[in-house]
Amino acid sequence: MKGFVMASILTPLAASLLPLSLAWAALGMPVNGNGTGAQEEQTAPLRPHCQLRIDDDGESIVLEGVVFARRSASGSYDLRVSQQSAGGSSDIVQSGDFIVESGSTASLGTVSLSNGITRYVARLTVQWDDGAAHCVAEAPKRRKAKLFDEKNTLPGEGPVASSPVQPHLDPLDKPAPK
Amino acid sequence: MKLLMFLIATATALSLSFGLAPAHAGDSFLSIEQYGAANEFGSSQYGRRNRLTIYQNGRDNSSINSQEGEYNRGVIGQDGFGHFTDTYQRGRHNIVGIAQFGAGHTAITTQDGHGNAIGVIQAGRGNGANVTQVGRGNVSVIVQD
Repeated sequence: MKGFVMASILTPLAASLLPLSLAWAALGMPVNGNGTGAQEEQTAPLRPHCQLRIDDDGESIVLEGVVFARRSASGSYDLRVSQQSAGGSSDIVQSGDFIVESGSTASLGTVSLSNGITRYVARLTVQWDDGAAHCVAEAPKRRKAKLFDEKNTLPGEGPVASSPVQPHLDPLDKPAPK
Repeated sequence: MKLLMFLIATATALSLSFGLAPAHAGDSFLSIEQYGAANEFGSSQYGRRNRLTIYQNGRDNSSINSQEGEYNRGVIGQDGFGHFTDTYQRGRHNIVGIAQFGAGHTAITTQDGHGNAIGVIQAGRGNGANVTQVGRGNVSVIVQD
């Protein structure tokens, strides 16, 4: 009886840890290894900026916080995700330091939620010496989302189709000199 | 010549002993099962590659556990109503998995380090999870159904 009960607990746990370990392993890979095109390099902001990447495959929603910088930068990040579902609620906080190389993207952390949730809000703040960038993603949307345009899209990426992501760029960001 | 042979043999034996028995604390395994109501359990493990497995069945049971080190694993299963678990892991490459079935459960889990992973499954109603990860390259998976 005990063995059966333990098995009923551990089997779904093991099933959930498998994608967990895969996602964990994926973190070791470069998020965006496509390099930077000339046009994208010119339109990208000088200061670091953040993005919340959202992958909804119908079974789970994976949120990944990333930071991009044209110049090498370091600082700290704070990713907060709150979600509610029929089963309950959860709050996830991921924070720490980051280092991003010049013209590249760094993954900060990943959160996976089950697709049965009724609402979630994700807020990412990236801070460095003299500035900060904020990104917000939520579902369902409370207001019309501002989709990524070319200027806000990370190099090597197209617009995020399903993205409720709303990057709030620092107004001090200047366009790159041509 | 004999001295040379002796030195080679000694060096070989020493190398093998280092490879087979690395000197580090850890590698402990702890497994606990509790049935009934209002049980409480607490544990601490230090070192690397420690294992913790807890199963509690009933209602209003609780467990508070900490692991400090690296490559530690913690698995907590709770079945019933109103259970509580709080886990803390400090170090790198630690993993904790929590499964709670029933209603009114609470899971609190904290990791401080990098390359850590948290998995929480809560099946039922009125469950709550609070996950905190400090560091870089961390992953958390929450399933509430």
